[in-house]
Amino acid sequence: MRLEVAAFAVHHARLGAPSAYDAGVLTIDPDRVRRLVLDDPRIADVRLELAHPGESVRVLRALDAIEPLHKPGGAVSAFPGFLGPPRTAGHGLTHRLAGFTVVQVTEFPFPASGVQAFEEGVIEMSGPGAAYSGCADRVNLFLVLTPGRAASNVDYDDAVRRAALRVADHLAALTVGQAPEAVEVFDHGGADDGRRRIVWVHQVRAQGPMVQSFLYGHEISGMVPTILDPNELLDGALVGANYKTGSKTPTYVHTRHPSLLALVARHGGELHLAGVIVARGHHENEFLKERSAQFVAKLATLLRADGALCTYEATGNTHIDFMLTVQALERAGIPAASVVHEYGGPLGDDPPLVDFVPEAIALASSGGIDRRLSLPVVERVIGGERLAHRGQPAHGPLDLPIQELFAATATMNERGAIAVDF
Amino acid sequence: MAKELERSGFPTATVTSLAAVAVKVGANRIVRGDRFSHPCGRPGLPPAEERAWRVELVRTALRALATPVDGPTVFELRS
Amino acid sequence: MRVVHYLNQFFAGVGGEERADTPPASRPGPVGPGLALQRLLGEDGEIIGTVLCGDGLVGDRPDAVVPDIVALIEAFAPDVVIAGPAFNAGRYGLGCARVCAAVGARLRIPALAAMAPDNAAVELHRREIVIVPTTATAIGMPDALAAMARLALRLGRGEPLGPAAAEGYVPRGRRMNAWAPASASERALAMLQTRLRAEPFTTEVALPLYDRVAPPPPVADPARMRLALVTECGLVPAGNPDRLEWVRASKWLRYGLGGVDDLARGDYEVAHGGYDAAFAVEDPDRLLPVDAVRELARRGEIGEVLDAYYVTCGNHGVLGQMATHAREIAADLRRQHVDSVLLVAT
Repeated sequence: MRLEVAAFAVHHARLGAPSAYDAGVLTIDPDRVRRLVLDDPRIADVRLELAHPGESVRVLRALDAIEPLHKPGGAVSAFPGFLGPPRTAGHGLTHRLAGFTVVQVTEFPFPASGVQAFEEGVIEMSGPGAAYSGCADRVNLFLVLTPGRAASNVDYDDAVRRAALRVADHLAALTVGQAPEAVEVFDHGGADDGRRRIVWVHQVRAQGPMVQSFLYGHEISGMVPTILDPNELLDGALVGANYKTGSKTPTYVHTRHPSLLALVARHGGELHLAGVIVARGHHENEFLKERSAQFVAKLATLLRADGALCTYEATGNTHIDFMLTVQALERAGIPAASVVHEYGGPLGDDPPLVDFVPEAIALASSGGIDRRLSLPVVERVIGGERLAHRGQPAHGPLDLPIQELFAATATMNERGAIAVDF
Repeated sequence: MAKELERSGFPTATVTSLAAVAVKVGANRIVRGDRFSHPCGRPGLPPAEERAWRVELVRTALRALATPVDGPTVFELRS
Repeated sequence: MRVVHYLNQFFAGVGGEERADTPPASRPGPVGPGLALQRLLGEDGEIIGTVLCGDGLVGDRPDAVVPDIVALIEAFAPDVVIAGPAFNAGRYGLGCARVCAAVGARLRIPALAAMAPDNAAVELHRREIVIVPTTATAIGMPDALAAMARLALRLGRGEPLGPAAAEGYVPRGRRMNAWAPASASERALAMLQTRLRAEPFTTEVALPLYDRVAPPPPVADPARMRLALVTECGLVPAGNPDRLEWVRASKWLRYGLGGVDDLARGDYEVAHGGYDAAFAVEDPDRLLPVDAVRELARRGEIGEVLDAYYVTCGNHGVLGQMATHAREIAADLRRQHVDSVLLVAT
């Protein structure tokens, strides 16, 4: 499949009518956005907030963050399965608003406990937390939502996701007919000509409601590992819906993951990108963990992989799923190298990971997430007066572990964080 | 926590859904439980059968506590 | 900068193994390998004195001699203390490590030791003191002394040391965050490509070595033992009255069971963010098998059951803290005359 992605960078956003994109400035018509969002009675109200890098802004109750994509023409849609029918994406032309995200900010209407309970992932637009915080280096539109007539948290979550995607589509579509500043061409078909065949194993969280991922518009908690063309991810086939603190992968990372970017940059040169294997983690017992790990190894073998680049989302017992996967790959004769985010406790003297296998000999560190940050008082807070699960006043100052910043693990990977021995 | 309890001298039967991990980490008396969200339960069974299963699970733990072991050992329920 | 050098009886020229009981003594200026060390320190440092002690004494009876060694060192009023290199000599390595630890703790003077990385003293002391890795034998003396001189001057000047690999000391057990020039994914891919070329590569996260605990002897007869129930699954009375955190719990709790025969729906909830709590809320015995334990006690298969249970939350638990909780629970179990434990782990 051949995909062209036309990038339109956003340097600044403001509210105004009509919505327009012009030379890096995005004008957002609030009434238009309100109509798009409130078209669904499961949402009662929406308020728009904007934040730019460097501003003294802290955001709570953030769910997912989406970089807008739009495919002109209508035969296939970006975010397939949500914005249009679940037709295979990853070919043709896609317009992308680079450096901009749409973020849902909301409380859930019904109480929840255990794994379904929301855990705060704070967005820090400036200060010492910004280096670890998702969305800090981009222009953001926050949709601050009020629940309406939703039957359950899952029902409301569906409304919230679709609303944000409608807004993202509207904004990206503003660029249709304009000349992009850059066009990337992605084509991973063709012969490998003897280049080493590498797969990317992308383990995501899909444990159930609130800790979920969606593929072509359907949740994947029951999915056995599957194969995607890298282009499908670039077009938004995989949408994040994992609301756990810093270890979540927001949709804007699924569509531009550092692993994907590292591989596509070298495709056709040093290596041949043979495919992406998407698997869920956090399986309920060892039987299912092993079953999934075996599937990944089998798919990699079917793709004739010479090597596997492996990453995972979230923490805790999903390390076990991941390590079993690495073990299965190595035992199938496919060497693996992995990105791991480390625990280590607040002082860095605790063990870095929950689980290892002896085969996990090639690990890159994306840094320790237990270390603590002192976050300052901020001028503006979006999304609440107190942190959801700890209750401190949101304006600060705050003392938080890194993993309670929004999408910290993905951000740390992107930015080059690493833990080193002292 | 199993190893620290053992280090303090208490024979400890560890019921866990992740027996392979417990072996790796080095707990010595391991009993294989059911799924992660209900290690001492089997919600798919009718209540009386689930209760009988749980009694067998605890019997397995008693057997583990009464058995000399040299290192990490997994005890399975007898069916 | 004033430097004191610590040596054993052999390197101080007193004698070999037959003089391993040489008591602590001091000499002015550098002695033995200290002469080469002084040349490497150059103008920046002066070895004003050497303190020596027999390996047998400092290795086997440290409490008797380390205070005397420290007093001799203190008399020189040094800015930094250097010990060794001990290479793979076990008692000498222990001696160097103990002297450095004592100098740091009692005199608050920076100190460093040097020895082979698999010297037994390294695993025991690397967290407390700075250790320069050396070869196994004295064949590596020149490199060892050069590294010791370089690091001693930095420590003597009060400079904080950077990462272990960059500075050349044995990792002291702390991993700190830094920023690399490439994303972690890029680095992992580079590592993969190096592996595929069959070239040597270095992992960024080393595999741990899990220690073994000797299994406690089995109970003689379960029908006569007193059993306690402990759970890491975050099961707490409804309302979570003591606010057990559902992630990275900071405490453990003990709750009475009130003599009940099983745990009732509605009486308990789950403070654990890592799994679906619905099954446990419906029947808490699925996390803490009280009903089964009571039944077996009635049948005489268990002697006695403590009428209380212990709980913490194993979700993302800071592992050092979990070990502390376990030790504190063990102390309480001893007070309750408990013989054995049934632990439900996550």
